[in-house]
Formats: sequence, C-alpha cells, structure tokens
Amino acid sequence: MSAEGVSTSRAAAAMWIISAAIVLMFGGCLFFGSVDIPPSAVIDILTGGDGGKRSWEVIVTGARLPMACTALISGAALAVAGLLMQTTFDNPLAGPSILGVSTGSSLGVAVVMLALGGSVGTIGHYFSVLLGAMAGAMVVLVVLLLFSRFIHSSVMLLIVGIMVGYLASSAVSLLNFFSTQEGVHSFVIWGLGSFSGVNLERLPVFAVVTLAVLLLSFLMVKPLDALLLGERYAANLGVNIRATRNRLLLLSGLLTAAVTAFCGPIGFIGLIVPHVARMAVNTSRHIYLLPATAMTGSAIALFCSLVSVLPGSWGVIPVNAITPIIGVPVILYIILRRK
Amino acid sequence: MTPPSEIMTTHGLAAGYLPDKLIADRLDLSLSRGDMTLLLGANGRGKSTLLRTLSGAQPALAGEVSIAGKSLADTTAADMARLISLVYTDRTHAGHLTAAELVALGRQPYTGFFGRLSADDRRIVDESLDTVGMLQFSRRYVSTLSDGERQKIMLARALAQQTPVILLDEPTSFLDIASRIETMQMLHDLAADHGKAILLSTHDIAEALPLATHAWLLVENDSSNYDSTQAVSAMITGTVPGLVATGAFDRLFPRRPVVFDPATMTFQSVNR
Repeated sequence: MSAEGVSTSRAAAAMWIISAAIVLMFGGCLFFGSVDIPPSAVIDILTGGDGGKRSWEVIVTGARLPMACTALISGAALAVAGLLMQTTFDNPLAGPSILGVSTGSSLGVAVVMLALGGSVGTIGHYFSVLLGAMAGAMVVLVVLLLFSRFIHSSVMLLIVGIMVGYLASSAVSLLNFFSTQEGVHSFVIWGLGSFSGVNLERLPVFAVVTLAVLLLSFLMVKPLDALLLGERYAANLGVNIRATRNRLLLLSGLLTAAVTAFCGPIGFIGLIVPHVARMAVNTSRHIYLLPATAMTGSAIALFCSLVSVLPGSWGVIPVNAITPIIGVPVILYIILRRK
Repeated sequence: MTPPSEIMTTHGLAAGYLPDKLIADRLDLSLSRGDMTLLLGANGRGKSTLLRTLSGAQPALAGEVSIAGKSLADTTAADMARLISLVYTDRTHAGHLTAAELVALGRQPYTGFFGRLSADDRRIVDESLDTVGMLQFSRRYVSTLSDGERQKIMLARALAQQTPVILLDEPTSFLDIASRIETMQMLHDLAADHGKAILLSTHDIAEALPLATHAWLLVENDSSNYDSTQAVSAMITGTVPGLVATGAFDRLFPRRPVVFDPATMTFQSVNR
C-alpha cells in the first residue's frame, strides 16, 4: 500500500479539476471571440444548426473550433516537451524555448518561408514549413546532445542552449535582412505566435502527428522515473542511458517542432506547465505527472487563447504577449522556493 | 546465516582511462557473500574508477570481471541490474517522491513496461525500508528528509533491487558521525545476516574497520615492491586482522605524518 499510497488519490483529484478547467476553457474559446455571437446561436451551430447567420457559422466552425482544438493539442505537446527536457537534462528550468529548440525551429521555418517568398498558403508549402521546423529543432537538439557528452553540469548545458538560441535568432535576423518584404511580413506574423493558424483542413494532420508523438512519450514513463535519481542510478536500474536520452530528445524535439511549425514559437508553456502540474498532483512519478502535464498544458494554452480574444472587436493579442505574464511569476516562484 | 561463497571475481583486471591513465592492473580480486569489504586509499588512488569498472559503468582496460560465474562482458544491462546495486555519495534530489516511491524504483529491474508494482514488489519495498529502519518514513517526501535519512533510503532502494552484490562509493561522506556509525553497522548486518557481498569505498576508517571482514588497499605503486608496471596504484588485499598483522595499513598514506595504530584500529598523528 505504502509504495503507491499518498499520491494516487491526490493525483486523481487534481486531474478531475484540470479536466473541468479544460472543458470550461474550451467552451469559453467557442463562446467568446472578436465577434459577438449569442450563446444560443453558438449552441445551435455546434449541434448542427446554422445559428441564424451564415457568417456566424463560418466563425464558429471555421475559426473558433479549430483554434480551440489547436490550443488544446499545442498546449499538451509543448508542456510534455518541457517535462521530457526537464527530466532529461535534470534541470527544472529546461524547456523548448529556453534550450533554443523553439528558436532552432524558427530558423528552420525562416529559411523555408523566406525561400518561398512568404507564400505559406498551400498545403505543400505547409509541409515544407513543418520539415523546416523539425530540421531546425533537431539541429539544436543534436548540438545540445553533443555538448552534454562533455558538459556534465546541467546549468552549463542550459547556458549552451541559450547561446545556441541566440545564434539561431541572429541567423534569423540576417535572413530577414536579405529577404523580401512579404517574406519578412509573414515570418514576423508567424513569430508572434497564434493558435489560429491551423484551419479545419490542416487540423487532422496536426492532430494526428502531435497526438501520435504524445502517445509515444507515454511509453517512456518507466525510464523517466529512473532518471529522477540521476543517470548513474538509472543505468544501475538497467536503463540504457544513451538510447533513452536520444529517444527523449527526439520526442521532445518532434513535439516542439510540430507546434512551432503550425503556431509559431510559443514561449513559457513548456517551461512552466510541468511545475504547475507537479504541484497539482504532488508527485514526480511520470505515470501521473505526464498526463497531468499534458492536461494542464491544454488548460493553460486554452486560457491564453481565450485571453488573446478578450479585446473583442479591437483585435487579437498575440499569444506570446500573454504567456510571459503567466510564466514569469511561476518561474520566479520556482527559483525562490528552490533555495 | 548464508555460508560464505564467492559471487564476484576479477582476473587480470586493469582499470583506468584510455589512452594512458592506468589506475591498477593484474587485479585478481574476489568478493563473497557475507563479506563486508572496504576499499581504502588516499584521494586520487582510483577507488571510484575501480568501483565503476567493477559495476560495468566503465569498460575494463584488460582482464575480466565475473559475477555469479558469468563474465560481465556477456551480461546484459537488465541482468546486471539484478546482480549489482550501487549507492553513491552525492545527494539525490528526487524531490516529489515519497520514500516508498523512491525505494520502489529499485524494483524496476523486475517490473513490467510501465513499472507497475505487484503485491510482492510492495512487500519487498516495505521490507527494505524496515531493514534500514525507515518504515515509519515511507510516506514522507524525500525532500523533507535529512541527509542521513536520505542515504538510508538510497540503501533501501539498493536492497529492493535484491542483488547479491552491493557496491557503495563513499556512502557516508555527507553524514554526521551518528549516521556514519549507523550506516556502517547496517552494512555489516546486511553482509552478516542477509548474506550480501558488500564492497564500499570510504574514508571513515575508524567507523568501518572494526565492522569489516576484508579490506582492499589501493597504495602507491612503487616498482620496488610490485612488478614494475605503469599503473598508478597497487592493490593489497586480505582479511582485516591479516592486514593489521602485516602492517599494510601504514602503506595507505606514505610520507604523510600519520601512522596506523593497531590497538585502536585508527590512524594517529605521528606528532602526538
């Protein structure tokens, strides 16, 4: 009893609360937006009616629904990517944006977008962007992996990640300087981060790719738990450290790249959500922590998405303007409490 | 009481780092169930390197290590996890785990894909906690425990792994004197009562020596008294009384102002 004990009931309770939050936020994203649509009309549209106005139907099913789904999936993906990185690097401040992985993706996207002159409309181009993002993320992760062979201090490795991120963003700036105006424009818009870039057509691809990688991550819970003790103890428990680390970095890179390609580089979610989830379920055991992190990520991304449409007819706030407002206090709290 | 039997041996083992850092070579060592063996030596003599080589964490430069009659080179990581468990010196910070959850990680070599614990696994976790006297702490979060308590939990984790051999690399360095004595007594009991083969490197000679059965001394390799090799260290092995009788302990710290006092089994200042 004692070995399973304490955390089980607490974790279950926490996950019910997070589920409720997800439902609430998801609903919020459907009922609120830049255009005022009466709730009754939204319900009518969602249950198959036309809600009385053709434009309302387009907004609800063509914009709000895919945006809410995208936020739901992206939040989970980024948060899980952050958790995998934090466990792999044994560092609570690791995350896709901090380690330069998002920036690497951005560089990949910049290369593709600017090479294509800014026309990312067609689905073929979309795959090029996705591949660019993946390649960029992988390059950064491989660099980090190589450095991690020589650098054993995870703080130093984190600094290497930050430096690699700076190099990548400098390369992005240089690319911008030499490219066409339309290219720069679409890249800058993409860089602000938005869950609205995935329309109903692209949503299935995005959902299938991301959910598949998320499911694969769940297969890693046992070695992830072993890694909590540090690599030497994990090796003693029979974990193949090198293979496990490579797999974890590949999974976290894929998750980051998939979201970055579709939504832009979204900061802070990958960094803070694992901590929020850990506080909620009060255990580091990944069998609880991983699903809780995915769910909390969804809830927080949906919340950010909801906040981004609050100005109503005034316009939409970029997601990356909102995530730090939630993220920075959480990080400061973590740093202060670790003393 | 398990009768003493050889569980781990080395033949012509050379430990060190490529290309040219040879710590010790031509090592023919043996560990038996029921023995508590101390690995002693001044800093830099290569205690940790030897332990890593014995545990397979680092490849042997020559020779071989055999465990349970099988060469280490032919043993998979999964099998190794059931033969040797390790305890290190550094503080672990597996924060949001309870003591029982941490000890349960020691069951990983036996559990399935998702690491689910069976009733048997849970019983073994409780027994391991009980053996180190920490059963009443099982629901406490590891982050709330003292260094000494945490190290006992790490020892319980090694016990939950149910390996015949336990290797410990300076397990008591961070601990206060009471915890040091307590840990050494615990290791002695694990060897004597549970038939484990225990090898630990330590600087706490005063606490460990009276409880140990054997000692391996890593001493300076001067070519006059050892076949001339390039190795940094030479190894002297034996039972504790035997080594005391031959005055071997005095070779641990040559040219240092300390001398081994056989009566108290401690090192003393020569200037006393």
